[in-house]
Amino acid sequence: MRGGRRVSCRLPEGGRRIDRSRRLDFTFDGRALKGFEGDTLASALIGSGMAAIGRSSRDGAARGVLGTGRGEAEIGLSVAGADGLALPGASLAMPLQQGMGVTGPDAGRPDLVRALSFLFGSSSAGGRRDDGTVPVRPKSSLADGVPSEILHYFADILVVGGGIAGLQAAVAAGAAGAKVLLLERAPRFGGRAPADGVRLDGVPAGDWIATACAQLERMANVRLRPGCEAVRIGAQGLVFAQETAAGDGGDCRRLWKIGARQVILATGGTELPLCFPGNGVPGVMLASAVRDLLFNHAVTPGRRVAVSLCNDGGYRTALALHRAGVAVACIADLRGEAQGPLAAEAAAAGLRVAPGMAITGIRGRRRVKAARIGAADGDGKDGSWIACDAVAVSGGWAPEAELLLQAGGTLWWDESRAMFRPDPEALPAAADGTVWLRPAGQAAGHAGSAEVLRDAALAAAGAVAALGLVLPDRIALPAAPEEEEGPAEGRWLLPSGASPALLRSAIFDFGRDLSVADLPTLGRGPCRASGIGGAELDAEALARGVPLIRSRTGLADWAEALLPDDALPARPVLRTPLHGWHAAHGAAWEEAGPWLRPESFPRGADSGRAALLREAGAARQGAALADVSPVGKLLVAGPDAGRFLDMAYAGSLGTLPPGFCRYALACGENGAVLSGGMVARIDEQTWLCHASPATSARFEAHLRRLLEQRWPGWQVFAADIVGQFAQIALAGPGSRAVLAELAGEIELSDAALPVMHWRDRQLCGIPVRLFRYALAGGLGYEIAVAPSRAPELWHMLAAAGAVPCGTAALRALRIGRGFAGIGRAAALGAAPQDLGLGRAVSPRKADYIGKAAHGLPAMADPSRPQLAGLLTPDGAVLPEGSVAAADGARVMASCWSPVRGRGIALGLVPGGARRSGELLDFDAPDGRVLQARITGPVFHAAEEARADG
Amino acid sequence: MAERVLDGRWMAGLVRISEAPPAGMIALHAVQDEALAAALERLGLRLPEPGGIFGGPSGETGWMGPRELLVVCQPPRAAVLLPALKAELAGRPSLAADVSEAHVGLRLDGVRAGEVLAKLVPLELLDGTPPPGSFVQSRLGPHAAALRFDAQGATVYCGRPAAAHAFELLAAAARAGGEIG
Repeated sequence: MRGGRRVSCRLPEGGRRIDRSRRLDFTFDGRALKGFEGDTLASALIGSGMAAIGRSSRDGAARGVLGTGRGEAEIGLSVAGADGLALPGASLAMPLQQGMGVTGPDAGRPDLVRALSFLFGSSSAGGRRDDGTVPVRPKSSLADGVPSEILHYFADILVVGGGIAGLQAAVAAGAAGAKVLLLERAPRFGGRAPADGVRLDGVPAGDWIATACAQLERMANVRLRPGCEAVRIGAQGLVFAQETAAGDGGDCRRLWKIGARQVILATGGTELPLCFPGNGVPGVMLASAVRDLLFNHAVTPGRRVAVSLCNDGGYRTALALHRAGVAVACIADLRGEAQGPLAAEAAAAGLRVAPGMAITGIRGRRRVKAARIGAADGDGKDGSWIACDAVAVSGGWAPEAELLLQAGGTLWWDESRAMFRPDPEALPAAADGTVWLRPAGQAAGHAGSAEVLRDAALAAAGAVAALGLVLPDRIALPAAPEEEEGPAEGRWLLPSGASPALLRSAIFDFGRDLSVADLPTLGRGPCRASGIGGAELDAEALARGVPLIRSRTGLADWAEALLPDDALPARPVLRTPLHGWHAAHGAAWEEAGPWLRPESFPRGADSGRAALLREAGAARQGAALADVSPVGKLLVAGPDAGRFLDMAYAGSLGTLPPGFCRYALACGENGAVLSGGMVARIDEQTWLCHASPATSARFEAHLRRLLEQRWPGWQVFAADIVGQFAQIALAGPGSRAVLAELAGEIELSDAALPVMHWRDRQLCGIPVRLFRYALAGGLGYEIAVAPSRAPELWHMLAAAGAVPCGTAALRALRIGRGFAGIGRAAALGAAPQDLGLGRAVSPRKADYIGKAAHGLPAMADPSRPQLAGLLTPDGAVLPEGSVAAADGARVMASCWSPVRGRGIALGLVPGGARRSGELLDFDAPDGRVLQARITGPVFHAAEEARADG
Repeated sequence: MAERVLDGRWMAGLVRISEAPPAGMIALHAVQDEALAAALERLGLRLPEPGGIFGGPSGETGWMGPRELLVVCQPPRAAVLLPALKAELAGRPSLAADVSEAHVGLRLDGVRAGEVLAKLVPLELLDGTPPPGSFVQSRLGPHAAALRFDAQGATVYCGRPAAAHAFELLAAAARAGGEIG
């Protein structure tokens, strides 16, 4: 039976967070349970008597809730909302909602449910259906189907963590006039102080916190953000935080990208567990978590709780349980002598304290049934079993330092406090030595509210001073009791005299659910998202026997995708001015980088090949019409534009007369093709450079870089005008006749518009720029037209007999003529000469970018990879990206040729077409091995010449 | 007359988002000196200060960079202004091109324009937008964009091919319930 005997429960009164008048129904593995408004998933489950709710991914042993903090509570449950769909980023710390459905690992197929882990919860979030599959929330109407968004924010001082340290630091920073952002991952500010019964300025901590929050809210320069968790420090002062926001159709996740000049980390600490045999059994919890559940939700993990501790703080839990009417079976204090006010208070309350003892064993598999109390330095076989149904453990506190480590800070081992704490001498600093990130309070390794508050004030003073601001005198520290607790003893592997065999089952790394038996693999296991300092720290922790409970780090996958500001979404988002026409005429779409382009225009039940045959046929025998608007269009002008283009391109452009155009290639310093396209001379000082869509953005950036860095004195201006014109290609032997129908009086003869010339004309009253070009002897035009007039012109051209044609046919014809496409060539680093485009390189020019490389002896090596045709013996299409293992030949471009009725491919083959006739074995990306014979790179030319003649 | 890219689509959430009326636009690349200021003055335009868009009798001039301006005017005026500009600047290194159809303006009307834009533009906009008359070059999500602020809200100028996606991004950012608070 799941969960075993249901003993733990809700106490009849108390619970400052819950509203007992508002009951919420939820289910766990189909069982109907009840909680209250204000419960977390953890408190609702424990309140309903659930102990075993997860499983170890390692050995399948039952696992329960260890803590209420976020990191250690991620045990891979699936959580669905009332609509039955998975909630993003489910964790045990999330608020309970009416109708929530929680699925544990025992539901569904056993092989799938093993995917459970204590690790980062978001990866395992997702409600499972009965068959074990995961229903995914349907794409939200938010952009790109990702239910997430970014928020950009800038602050002078970012305070991470809204406990008493963070509040104190924010009050000081705010009073100094800095723009402050205070983040707190919990829905409320205050942290642990209220649950720990701290008194500040003579009032309960909760009252002081309320006053501080009210004070901060009155400051116009301070923004408070509860429920928002800082998760990643990118570069200096760049902090990422995540929160849940309302979206339509469900919650959405919001990523804050925060630019902060100064960062104060007041992230508090993490309680360490103790490592003893059976410490992974459900019911063994961190003492602080037990206290939180009791205080916030009036929930206890058991009716009779044993406590094992090595510091004074754990006594708070025992006392709180006792006061709440829960039996405390025993307090095992591994220190030889229990002193300090809290221990005395426990003794005075009549609780049984066992000094020098520890819990050294657990009975029970799905929940605690008994605990063995034995000598802390014994061999684990002594002592006696006492009946209990839950165990609270406390191994002291460690600063939460993940963000500090991400920022480049380091930790040192403080022997007196038995903890790794931030090194104040090695805080993250800017190039000029100014520290920009400071841990504060418990996150810096301090303990006791007085010490914590003093340190927070110091950190705030440091940040304020670094900004050149002045801290006002009236910032007072609240009066807090000094040193409420005695020192902890740093001993975690218990009992210390136990044989390794006995300790095998003790969990050591709670983040990865690794036991002591797994120790040799620690530090080499699956990396945590940040990895910074991780392995080294693990090794040192291992050497010192400090259990690992490093909290969740890094960002969930959803947020990673949002990190770069200019990251284009995975789907194409750019549209040509003719998009509407294509859509209305049944275009089959192709995702060409960021552009959505028509691949073909199938008619009725046409197969893709039938459309391809029709469209390519029109281009070869009649007239075809294609939307080439995505082609890059860059206007380059100025007195030095000619010599600039002569340097930027391998061909000669400065001497091109106005009215002419020329196909030109640009190379990098290494001689490889960067971009290419038709360049037209517009007037004395202006050129219009077209660039293939795949390379245009990079090419434009390249040109701008050259102008800014290499020739800053040259008078050249460049304007991107890609959206100003729609570009329509009209190709095929019948294209002149089609154009003539629209041209009226306008001469289209070879004399009036020679090949490789352009003219500004009017077609049926529509102003156009008409380019006439020739590729492989074919007749062709490109027509640039205002986007608003483009659909009208397109329609008229189609009515005059031109066949609309998609990218597939264009591509097939291009490959058939031996052109692989500039984008692909550039991606493979081929030089123009390797592609049979040597004529685009002007050997007479004194210099151009790439000339030096083109002169290297290696360029003349006949065995260089060069363009060649590739034909499979059976006519199959050779997949692009295939590589021949024997000599490194690569397939650049490949398609089914409507002309040849078979697959054709172009490759970069060592030795090139000189090796015609040789057979090569290609490894395709899909794992197949295909044979192909090397041939010349031109497949269609013969027929085309005839068609043109 | 420029065709409306968004087909009259609009949405009302935290702000109202719609396509701005068509405008004539001229990209003007030239060194910004007193001679240019005088030339603009003669044409009824003003040389803006960095980060601003200045109005004159013929139209507005927005600062795009140390050597680049964007003239925004009534659509028919662009055809008159462009040759006039070229004539005024003849003999000076410059580039003037009609870009009326290259950009699309998207209007955000409402007091929460800054809040909506802060989700997409990497600028400090959440705690208050720049004063009316400001003109900033930045990004809108993945797209390059210029933003101008006025008393009613803001106009985002983005490339025409990106306009549909920019509208989607803005509409998602401005959805009801998407308040930052």
